Amino acid sequence: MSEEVQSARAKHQASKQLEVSHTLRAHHRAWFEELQRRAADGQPYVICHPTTPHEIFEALDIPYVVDAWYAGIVAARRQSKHYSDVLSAHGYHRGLRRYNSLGYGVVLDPNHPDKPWGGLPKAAGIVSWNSEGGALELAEHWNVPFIGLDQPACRVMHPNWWDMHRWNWEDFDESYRIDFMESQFRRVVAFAERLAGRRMDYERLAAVVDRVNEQEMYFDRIRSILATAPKLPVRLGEVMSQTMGIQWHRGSEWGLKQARAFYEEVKARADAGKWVCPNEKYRFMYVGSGLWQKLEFFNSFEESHGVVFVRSNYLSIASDGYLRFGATNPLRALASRYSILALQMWIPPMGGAWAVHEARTHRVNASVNLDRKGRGVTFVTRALEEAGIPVLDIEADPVDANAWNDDRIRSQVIEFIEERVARAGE
Amino acid sequence: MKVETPDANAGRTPLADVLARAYESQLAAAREQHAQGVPVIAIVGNTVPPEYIHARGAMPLYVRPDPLVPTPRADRYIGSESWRMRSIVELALSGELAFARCLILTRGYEWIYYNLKEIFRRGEGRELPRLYMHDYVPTLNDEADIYNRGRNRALGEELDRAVGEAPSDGWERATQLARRRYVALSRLEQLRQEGRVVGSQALRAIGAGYALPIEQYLSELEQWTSTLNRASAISRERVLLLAAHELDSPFIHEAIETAGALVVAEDSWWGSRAAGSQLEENCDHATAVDRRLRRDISGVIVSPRSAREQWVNERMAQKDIDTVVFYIPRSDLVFGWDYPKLKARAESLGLRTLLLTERLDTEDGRASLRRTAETHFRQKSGGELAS
Repeated sequence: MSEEVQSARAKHQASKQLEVSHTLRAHHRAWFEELQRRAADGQPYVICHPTTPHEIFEALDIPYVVDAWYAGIVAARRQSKHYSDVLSAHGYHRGLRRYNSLGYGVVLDPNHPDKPWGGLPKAAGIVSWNSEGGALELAEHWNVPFIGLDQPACRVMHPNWWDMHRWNWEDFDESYRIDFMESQFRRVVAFAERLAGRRMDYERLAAVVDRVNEQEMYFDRIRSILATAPKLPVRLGEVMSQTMGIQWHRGSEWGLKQARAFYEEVKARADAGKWVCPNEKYRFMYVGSGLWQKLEFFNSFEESHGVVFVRSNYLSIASDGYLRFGATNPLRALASRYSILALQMWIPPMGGAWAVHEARTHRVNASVNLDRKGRGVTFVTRALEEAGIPVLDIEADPVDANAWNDDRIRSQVIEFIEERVARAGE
Repeated sequence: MKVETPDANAGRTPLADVLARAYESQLAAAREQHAQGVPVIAIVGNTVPPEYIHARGAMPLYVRPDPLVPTPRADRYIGSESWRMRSIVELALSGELAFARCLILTRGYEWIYYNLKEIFRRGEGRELPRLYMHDYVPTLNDEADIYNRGRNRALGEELDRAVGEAPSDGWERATQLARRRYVALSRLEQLRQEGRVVGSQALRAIGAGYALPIEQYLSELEQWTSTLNRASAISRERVLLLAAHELDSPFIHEAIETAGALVVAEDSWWGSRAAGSQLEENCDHATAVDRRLRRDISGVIVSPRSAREQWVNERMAQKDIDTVVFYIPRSDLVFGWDYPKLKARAESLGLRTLLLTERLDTEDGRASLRRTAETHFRQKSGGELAS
């Protein structure tokens, strides 16, 4: 490991303020060790896309690794550049998204001495979207089943979707779209049953779905604290890491317990007036995929400019996008959730309306948006600007360090703060 | 494999004027039809079978993006998107499609639908025709089949609203035209395999069919292909072209053929996949059309991979290809995942491969593309082919 990587990792660890950050890391380490043991014993595990129904595997006690979040770990360990280069060397051009595929890069480089969490052992199958690159290729590399799913296109876009998701989801997501997702999920269930060697217990699946709802409600409460506390009590990088880590294990007893602990720690910090930046001057939001390769970016302007990042999509979508109450059929609730999950953050006018709503409730002064080849981001930017919220669009890849120029982006942000945000506040 | 020919002017049989004009001015014939009272349905994508429109006495217009046309209106909203998306959005916002009863977007183009719908919601798209999203999922499994049947039904209902229900003989007429179209386009494909037509001309001849009234198109195409029967076969490096997006612009063909090779096939419904298969006779007309749609579906988003690559594998195995040219621009998010395996498969069959990545929407990009093709094919070339 290079000194540069070691130093960056140490700096990243030192910036953590929450006890739950350490318990999460310890859990992940133990969980991966157990996964490696299980895999070595020939017991199945699967790889899933973040927006596929993990709950099905949770209900059948089959562990799963989330490809994008594993990619996040690769990036957070400062190894994204290397594994992105591995993918390029195998012919996958640099314009292809690395967000879900760095794990494939790890597998393609089996002799690397420092694989994140020991690397990915051969999975029993991969569940992803047919539209998502890298997952099918990894399944073919391992010669294991690939369960490819399709998300139906949206037809009706309710701007205030977050008000409808929790209870009116059958209306919002439209029955024919939910039917399609549910039928595909029955194929996922059949695959999981074959791996588990037993039939799905739908009452158990319902309990998992209920636990997810309970967990997401803790996230909802945390968001309220971050939005309404006089100042920011916890750094965004830690919030994102914690949210992602818990979401990875959503529906499990551990996930619920960790979400509760996360909430209690954030609340305690807010109650005690422990602020990230006592000289907080400007509150920023971040719109985009997790900037896992550079989480300290969000802390970089605290001392120099009093800027704190108070909000990202991760925590907010956890409550606004995941919650589904009132289901009599847990599979249908899951079908509703995943028929739209993540899309509502980008499809206009849903993405823009949500961003403005979030900006207002979090009292933000400005937003930094990660331009992900334009899909919906430009309308989010437009909505925010029209609502009087200055936006800086930065060109970068959330996980691929090859596409990050620290000096350039830092100077862009500073110019944005000094030229637009400060003047808007005058 | 090269086909010997003594005719140095082979491949120069000019494209019929009507076909050439229809390809270059994709809206002209549809506007004329509209002026004569024929309803026009504009479509982006290949999952709306023309028979759905023909059966109702209307004209389908399959819109293609143009990399040469500036996109100031689209740039206001989606400036960072690919030229293909910006071009379609520009065309729609310009008002040039206002004469169409409906603009149907299909899967793979859903973001055009989302963007246009939002622009309309904002009151900034008054020239837009009615928008409709036809979400036919190009995945071959039971779940998608059920979903797609529902989507096809919904499409029929939408078309009933837009142009009226099909008359009693509407489907019969549409079916007859479909059979004739299959024969005509299959003949063109056969001529290409025989090396009797230049790829860039074939591309235009096929593309014209997406912009002309069907009877007129078939008459013109049949007449033109009959003249090609007398053409000598062309002896050139024979190329199979695989691209990240539909081959609805002629630049790649022209670059390759100007460099001295001959494009004989491409995995695109704007190319060798245009004819598809013949309609079945043992079921009702609409069912036959739906079944053919499923059977012939092509494109980089088809799943599973075996279905997506079946045609390519069969085509490469025919042993009449010398080189497989891949076109994968940096804006690609999909096809690049298939590229390494396809390249390896081509090379395992003894085929040469060439990767082109240049942009088509800039003069520099097109010039660079021509240079790359020239460098690659120069030594094999005996002269210029493309007009």
